[in-house]
Order: sequence, then structure tokens, then C-alpha cells
Amino acid sequence: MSSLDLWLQATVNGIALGWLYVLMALGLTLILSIMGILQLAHGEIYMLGAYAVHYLVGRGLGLYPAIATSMFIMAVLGIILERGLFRPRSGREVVLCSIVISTGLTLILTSAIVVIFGLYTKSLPLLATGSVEIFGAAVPKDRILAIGFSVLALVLLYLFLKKTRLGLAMIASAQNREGSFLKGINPNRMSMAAMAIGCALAALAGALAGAILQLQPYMGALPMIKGLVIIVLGGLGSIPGALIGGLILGLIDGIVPVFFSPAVASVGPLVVVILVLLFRPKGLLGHD
Amino acid sequence: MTKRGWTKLLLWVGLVVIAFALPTILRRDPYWLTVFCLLAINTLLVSSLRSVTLINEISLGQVGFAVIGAYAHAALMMKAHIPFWPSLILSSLFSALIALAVAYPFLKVKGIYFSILTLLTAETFRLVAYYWTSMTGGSLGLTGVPGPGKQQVPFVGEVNFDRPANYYYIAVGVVLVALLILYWLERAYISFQWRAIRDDNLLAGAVGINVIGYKTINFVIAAFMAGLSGALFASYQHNLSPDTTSRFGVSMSIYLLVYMVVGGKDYFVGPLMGTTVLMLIAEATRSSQQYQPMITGAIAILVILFLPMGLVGIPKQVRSWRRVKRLRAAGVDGVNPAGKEGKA
Repeated sequence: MSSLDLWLQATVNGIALGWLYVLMALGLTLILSIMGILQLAHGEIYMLGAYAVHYLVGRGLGLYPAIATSMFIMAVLGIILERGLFRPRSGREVVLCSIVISTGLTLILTSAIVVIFGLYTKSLPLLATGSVEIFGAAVPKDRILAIGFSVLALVLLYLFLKKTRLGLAMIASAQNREGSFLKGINPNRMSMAAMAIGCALAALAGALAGAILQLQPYMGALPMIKGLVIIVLGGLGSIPGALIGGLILGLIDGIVPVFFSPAVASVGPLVVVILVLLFRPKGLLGHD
Repeated sequence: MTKRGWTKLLLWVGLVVIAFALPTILRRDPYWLTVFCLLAINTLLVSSLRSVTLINEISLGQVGFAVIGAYAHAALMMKAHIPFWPSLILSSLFSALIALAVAYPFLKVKGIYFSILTLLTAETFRLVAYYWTSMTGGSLGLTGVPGPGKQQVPFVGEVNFDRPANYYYIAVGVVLVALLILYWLERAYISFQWRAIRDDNLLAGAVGINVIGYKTINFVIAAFMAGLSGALFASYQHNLSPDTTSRFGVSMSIYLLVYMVVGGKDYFVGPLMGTTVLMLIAEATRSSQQYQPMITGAIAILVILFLPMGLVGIPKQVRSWRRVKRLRAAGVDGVNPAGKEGKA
């Protein structure tokens, strides 16, 4: 295998991973900027999304309909969670409350999956088989497809936020909750929408990750942390920021372990975040 | 001292007496002694987490500093052959030093950002331990971390502290001293600055408090205590593993937070209470191990929804419910049932 081949594969792997992180970060940034809470169970939604696809495929559904169904189920679950658990209550510290509730949820969902599906790793059918030639190097097709789906989701989200009334209302609510409330935008509705979209994106990310990697009950923690770090890196509420942050982290994960060592790759995100925060405390593209 | 003060002191003394009498009571049951030993070590870790809440931040990275403490202690004892006690202090200091190095960028950000950064730190330190095979044994884990060994104790003679029943005394003793230091700090002059920063950090800065400086002191002390707890754990367990599902994984950060909140984060005994109750529940449900996290998670959610002051705060909570009931009966509306007025 030539050196160029290795480089190209590492880069494509990195970009594919990066896009999964971007999907997680988009959901988290929507939830964080509209609801003002830290949703630590987002990784478990990702995991649940992947397991839902696994279950549906096992029941004889095709891969793509299964992914769509799983996204829909997770969106409904997100709405239920917002209504039942995350809606702010008077007299409580919102941030602490959300962290504890979501950590409790993490424990419950993970152990529920362990009970139902067991600890062993599971797998999903491949998105596509074979590989395509790019600059004379073989790149697996499923990576390209995963990137394609992620890009599509991002574009749809962007159009939704900028072109529809609901999307614009969500942006307004994120910018100023009280101000938009005075204009007749119900913040609780916006929170529901944010949770629904965020959870659907997490389910998509989980399904794609399940198709290129594997499923296991603890798969959610790492992408969740990456998603949160991307928010800090790119700036809260910024879609381009999430994109840049996600690609940086994905490329670190894809390239550095191949050419240096995994230890260096594991310190990479922390170093990048510290450097960014020293010079731009609001993140790369963040603003007040 | 007031009557309440005496009661409190009496309770504490009683607790310490019970803690030191446990090995005698549980002579026939060495297993439970190891549980209580781990309980003491965990209480210190949760207390270090609570100490960060004094500056109104939630640190999810205490486990990261415990990782550093544990592996530094193991390395100092196994590679540099330093005796137990100096190694314990040195490894905790090393953990504090790392905290000092990252404190500035971390403490410049607040709230959710701080929690995210500390979570990332904990995971990074774990991954470093996972991949730095030559130093930490990597994914296979590090075995054979020595305990304190045989030591001379006045009036008793030579005691082999490697036996779990005897190591218990060391763990509980060190944890008690550490808790006393934290308790003293919370009532010392420095806590006024911390409280000022907690309540309003802009105002605190405006009246001349060095906000970042005092936050750094708090963060470094908390990291020291976390490192100490990690080092105690290393000598207790004799082997360390940096696996995702091990003690140093993300889920442990989560458990610590749950312990603190279930106990009551506004009270110094909160961490002790929460850790004791939840660990004993976990032990009692050991037969259905796979449901254990589910039970803990459900308790966490129920407590935060219905008892936001935690288990220690139950009396106060009941009083505030009664007050609300009385006021409602008197026809006053819009009172806040959580007992914390004006903080929506």
C-alpha cells in the first residue's frame, strides 16, 4: 500500500468520522442554545437510534426505511423527554437539574440496552459494498455514502432554519428567549422542536456509525463528548462552527493515530480546545 | 457553642468512632470492610467535586485527576521505589500541578462550557493512560501496585497494612484528614471570596476580588483531593485499568455527580450521605447487577425532581412544603415550593 493510499484512506476515514461528530454537535448545539441545558444523554439517543435500526433490520425492514423509522422514533422520544423531564421547573437550577436528569437517563438507557441486547457488539448491514478509485487510491463506498447522508442532513437543517417560519422562530428563541416570547414565540414549543430535531440527527449519526463501525451499549459516550467539544471549539449556536470543529476533530481521529500514535491523537482535542479558548474564548466562529 | 453546634459535633464524633470500630464489628465479614474502604475513598472524590461547586461550577473532571493520582502513585512506588506516604503526597501534588497548568483557560469559561471542558479532560487523561502502554500497562491494565506494606505503629507494633482489614484504617484516616481540611477551608476566610464569586462573579471582580486567582486555588485544591483519592484507590485495588467501563470511565464522573446530588450538594455531609446510601443500595442489589445502573439513575432523577436539596435536606424540604401549604391555606399565591425564593 503506497503512502498516498494510506493518507487518502486516513483522510476519508477522518472526514466520515468528522461528519458523524458534526451531526451530534448540531443536535447538541440546537438543544444547548435554545433550551440552555447540557443534554448528556445525547450519546445514548445516538446509541438507541443505532439499536433501533438493528432491531428493525432484524425484523426484515430494509436498511434505509429502518434508518428513517429510527429517526422518527427518536424524534418522538425527544419530544416526550422534553415534555416529561427537561422542561424547566421553577425554583431549580436549570443547568444542574439538566445535568443530573440526563446523567440519570444515561444510566437507565444504557443498562436497558444491556438487559435487552446484551453486552456483545452487534453490527448493521453495510451501506454499500466495494470501493471507488480516487486519485488511484481505493476508498470504500460506504464511507462516501455516510458523508453524503450527513451533508444532506446538514443542508436540510440549514434550509429549515433559514427558510421556514418554525426555523426562524427557533433561531429567534435561541438568540433571546424573553424577547421572542414577547413576539409570540412559545419557548416550550421551540424546546420541543429542538429536542425532536436533535434526537433525529443523533439517531441518523448512530445508524451511520453502526453501519461503518459496530454497535455496543457504551458507544454513545465518545461521540457525545466529541459533539460537546465541537460546540466549545466552533462556538455555540453556529452551524459553520460545528462543521469546522467536527472536521478538525474527525481529521485528528482519522490521521494522527495512523502516522503518529493513538496517545497523541487522544491528547489532540484537549490541546486544540485550550489553544482556541486562549485566543477566542467564544469559540472559532462564536459571538455574544 | 450553641446547642445545635454540640449536636453536630456529637454526630461527627459518633461517626468517626463508628468508622474506626467497623473492622472490629465486621471481623467475620472482610468483604463488607472492603466495601466501606471504597466508600471512604469515593466520599473523598465526591467531596472534591462538591468543593468545586463552591465557585458555582460543576466539574465532571474529578475522575481525570483521580486517574493522574492513581497512575502517578503507582509509577512512583513501582518505578522510583518511593515509600508509600511520600508517594501518596507527591502523586496528589502532581495531580494538583496538572490542574494548575490547565486552570487558566478552563476557569475563563463558565457554566456549561466548564463542565464540557472538564469532561473532556477526564476522558483525555483516561485515553492517555490507555495508550501510554510503557508507563501504564495500557489496555491490559497495571497489576501489582504495592500497598503501604509493613509499618511500625506506636503502641501496637508492626502492622501489615497490605491486608484489606488494616488498609481500611489508612484509607479512612487519610480521608478523614482530607475532609477536615476541606471543612476548615469552607469556613476559612478564603471561602468568603469563593462564595462571592459563586453568587455574582462580576460583582466580586468589581469589588477587587481576583476572580480567576481564587477560582484557580479552589480548582487546584479539588484536584489535589481527587488525586489523593485516586492514589488511595491504587493502593487499595492493587491493579488499575483504564477501560471505558472501568472506574476511570465517563460513567464514573456521572456516578460521582449523582452521589453528590442525591446526598445534597449544599451540605458538607451530602457527599458522605449520597455515597453511603447509593453504594449500599448498589451492594444490596448486586444479585441483579445489570439493573443496578437503572436503579441508580432512577433514584437520581426522582431526587432531583422531588427533593432538590438531597437526602440531607429532607427536614428543610419538609419545613418548606409545610410553609407553602400554610401560605396557600392563607390565600397567598405564587409561592415557590422549592424553598429557594427568587431563583427561577
